[in-house]
Amino acid sequence: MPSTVLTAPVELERPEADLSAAPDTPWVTLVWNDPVNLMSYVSYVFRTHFGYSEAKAQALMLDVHTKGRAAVSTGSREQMERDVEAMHGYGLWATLQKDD
Amino acid sequence: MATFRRNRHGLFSLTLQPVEADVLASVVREVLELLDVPERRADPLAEQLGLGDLAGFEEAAAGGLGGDGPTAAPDDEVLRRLLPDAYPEDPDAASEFRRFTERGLRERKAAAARAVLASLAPVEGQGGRGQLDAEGARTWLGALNDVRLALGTRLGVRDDSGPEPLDEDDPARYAWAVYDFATHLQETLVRSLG
Repeated sequence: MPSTVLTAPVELERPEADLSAAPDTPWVTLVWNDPVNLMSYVSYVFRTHFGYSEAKAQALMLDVHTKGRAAVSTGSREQMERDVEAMHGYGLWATLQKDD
Repeated sequence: MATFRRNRHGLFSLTLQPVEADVLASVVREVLELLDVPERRADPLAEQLGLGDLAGFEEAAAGGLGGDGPTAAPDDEVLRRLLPDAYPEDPDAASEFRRFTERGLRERKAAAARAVLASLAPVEGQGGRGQLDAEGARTWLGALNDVRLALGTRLGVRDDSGPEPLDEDDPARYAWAVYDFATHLQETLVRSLG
């Protein structure tokens, strides 16, 4: 494609640091264990909101229950804010942070 | 105890004793009052045109864009649990997130509570059998969860072990009974939803 010829030199000159500082650094949505939410409900929410399989939803729910928290989704900050807002709508205790 | 069952038509049926209907309506009403969201009068024309939330639309047009909500976490422990901080280690980001989302979250929770109260209205005071479609069932599921979060927070529920032994006349016994009832309803409803 002609555009490749035009853009290639620019790409080569770009310092590598630019790539590591890409604006789409992944963020994660964490769901925390709480003593009220039912295990069956938490699993239902993961299936319903994220479209996860029964097995994946169950595994994440058990992680929340036994480890105290689980990363339930990864993506841009904006996407994770939408997921956290949705989790709060369902009554799950969710937060977001940069993936480390 | 009243139990949700999915019938062969895919509807979710529930038969409530008079006292069960009244207790449930009363605790849902308490959550609704706590959320403190003024009821909006539906505008039939706006709904027909797909502009369901005319007031929100006007706020947005006035420059609010939904970003004029509260920035501080609520004082009440139940509200803090229903509307938690999204950024526990970044107070500025938490405030900003709250400013844009808390009002909508309160409104959605209040709308669910109102929908549950509307479906309870025919059985309040007398008990009876009701049916929910799939959407109604999902609305009830969320509202029941809010009720359990509210009661669980007030009761100081810490783990799955249940209540400490309480005296016969301890008022917390009643709250625990309501909590257990809401738990049973939610558990049977989520199981019916599959």
